[in-house]
Amino acid sequence: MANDVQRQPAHGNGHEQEPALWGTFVAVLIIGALFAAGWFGAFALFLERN
Amino acid sequence: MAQTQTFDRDDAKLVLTHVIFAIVALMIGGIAGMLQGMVRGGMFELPGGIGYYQLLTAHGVLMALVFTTFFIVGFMFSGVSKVTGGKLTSTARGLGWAGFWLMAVGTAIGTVMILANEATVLYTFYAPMKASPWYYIALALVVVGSWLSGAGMIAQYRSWRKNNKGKISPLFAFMAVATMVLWYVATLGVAATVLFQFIPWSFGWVEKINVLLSRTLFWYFGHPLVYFWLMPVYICWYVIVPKVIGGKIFSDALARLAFVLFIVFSVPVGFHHQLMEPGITPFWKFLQVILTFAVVVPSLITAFALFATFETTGRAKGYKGLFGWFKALPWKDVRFLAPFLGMVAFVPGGIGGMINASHQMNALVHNTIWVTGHFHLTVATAVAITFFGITYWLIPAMTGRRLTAEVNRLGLWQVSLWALGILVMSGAMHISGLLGAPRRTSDTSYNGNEIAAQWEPYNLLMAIGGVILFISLIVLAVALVKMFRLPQGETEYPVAEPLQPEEATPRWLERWGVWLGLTAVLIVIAYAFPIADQLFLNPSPGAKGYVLW
Amino acid sequence: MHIHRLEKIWMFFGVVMLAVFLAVLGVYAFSMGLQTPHSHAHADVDPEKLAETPPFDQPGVYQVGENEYEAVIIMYAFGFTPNEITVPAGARVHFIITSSDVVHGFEIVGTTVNLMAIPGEVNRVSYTFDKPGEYLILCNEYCGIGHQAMYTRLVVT
Repeated sequence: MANDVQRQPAHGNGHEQEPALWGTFVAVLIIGALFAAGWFGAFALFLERN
Repeated sequence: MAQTQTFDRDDAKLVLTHVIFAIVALMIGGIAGMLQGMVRGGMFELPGGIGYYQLLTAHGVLMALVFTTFFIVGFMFSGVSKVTGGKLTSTARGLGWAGFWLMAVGTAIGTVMILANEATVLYTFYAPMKASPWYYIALALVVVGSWLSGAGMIAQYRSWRKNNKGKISPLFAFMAVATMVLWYVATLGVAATVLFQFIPWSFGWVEKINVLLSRTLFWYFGHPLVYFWLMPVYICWYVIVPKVIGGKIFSDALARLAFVLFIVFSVPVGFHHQLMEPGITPFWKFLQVILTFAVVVPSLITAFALFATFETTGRAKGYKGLFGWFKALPWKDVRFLAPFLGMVAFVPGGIGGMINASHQMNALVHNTIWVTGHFHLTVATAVAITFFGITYWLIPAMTGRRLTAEVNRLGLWQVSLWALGILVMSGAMHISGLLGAPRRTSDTSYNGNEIAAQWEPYNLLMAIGGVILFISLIVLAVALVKMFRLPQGETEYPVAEPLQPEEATPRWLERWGVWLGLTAVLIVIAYAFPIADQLFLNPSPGAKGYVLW
Repeated sequence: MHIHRLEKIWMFFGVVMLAVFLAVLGVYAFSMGLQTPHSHAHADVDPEKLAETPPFDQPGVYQVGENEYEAVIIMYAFGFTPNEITVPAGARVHFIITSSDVVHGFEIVGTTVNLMAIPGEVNRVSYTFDKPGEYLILCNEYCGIGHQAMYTRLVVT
């Protein structure tokens, strides 16, 4: 199919070969932010109860 | 390459037997779970003859040991067969059956012991509560059986490698072998404590048991146990899901690296389940906490890889914008929706897990029902709902039938109900746990105590969540019956191809000796001194057995 | 092995975040005194001989300094000895806990006092009770048929 994901060449670290992954990047950063918020929130509660 | 081919009948029989056994265990465990919730929520009183803690023991064993292990073995045998030529050798299949029977007999004996109230010690069976020796023997049979199952998969893998010298192994097979390699390393701990401590002590050949050592050996096993559950889920997410969405594996090499990292870092971390215990110094606890955080790394790799798969697939289909590719995903396909819901659950599951393992911060949540909320997100959602998603195509693929739109729709309802039930139940557990409500307790009213009263509304929510989950299981049962009546035809066994060619994956990833060596070194670093300390440098006086139920 | 540029950035961010968590935990634990519960060296006791083994031969709450106390506690199925603790507000209490039978969990609801009582071992944690009131102490490790009835109270005057 014309729109199938293309196989990439074995060599070539050039940025023009790298797929666009900005959506992925933002998505994982959001998850990372949730991790940080959750962890620091729990730690704050821990300190408050101490 | 033919995408749909009739699955080998002998292999299919092995796979189906495991999967059906797993689902039956899940159903029985699910009844127990629902009743537990209703008892705690004050909606139900158990009839005489069955105790809450018996139900809880059954629930834990059936869900966390039987459902998981049998499904994992069945699923992995199916994939290994598929990617190594479509037929297991008779050795591999024979080992598979031997493993099944041993595990099944162990399950039966264990269930009888639990029903007879001879083993109301929960699935963690902490000493010095002393169950019948037949309970420990039953668990040992399940573990030894699984060793045979693993040997079967490894035999198949080795046979493929011998016939394909110089080629990198198919990803599914590599991952299945990595999972079983981890399992072998992990089960050494529980095997040691059960064989050398619990069984002799329970038979009365030895009067006392070293409690701390037994806990340390159990949790040496207990943590990698969860990665034994998670790695097959990651197999689905890495290898199956990209095919289901019409894409390819984002990075074969990084996927293998993630699995190698799981082997190396999953074991030397058991102390994060023992952070509140005496007899282990804070230094050793913190060392294992550091190693625990290292085991988050392969999940960080996986998170990126999954989104990248979605994005590259969506963009190739023409979707644009930062998140436009989201719309490319087949939301109405249960083979995708189920694992996706599992991925979503794994985010708060992972966050909670990190909080649990955070050294002194564990005091905030230890033995509260927050912990129960945590693992109902991880094993009971990320793992279970992914397994549900697999079931909807695996059973038709094994039985040579065509997955219809009707059963797919039933599946969408089933997994959505499951997700809803978990949201309600686990959400309530997290909040209630932060408010201090204990886990593993049949009643948290403490004789009308005012502080305890604040937990009651959450108990009700947990009960409601539990009922929703049970309804989801009823839908699953209906779907299963329909699956065996589907029209004959072909259902694809979806295995994705990698984006990059074979040569892009470095061969050192498959050097098992190196990874096992590294694993051994880390285990020695993390455990040698503490175990030596508990065993002979500073052994505490042993404890005699108690039957307090 | 080719790694996408954005993935390298993500992994860097992720590992830094993990390192920050560990640094915070480590500093609070090892230099600010907010540590996990733990035993002192060579603090084993025989669970069947507690009646002859100090300090458990005399469980109870003892003043050891100005508004500083030691609470020597034995947990058993299904209760606590002593079965009620009273201290003045602001008291710093050093809990010294063991079990005479099976594993129990000592949790004071609403505080960070949450530790395991293992027969054969002695566990310790310290806590300052600033807020007056009645605290619920419960056993949070399954210990048998009466586990849900295993509780007591701590009163801060």
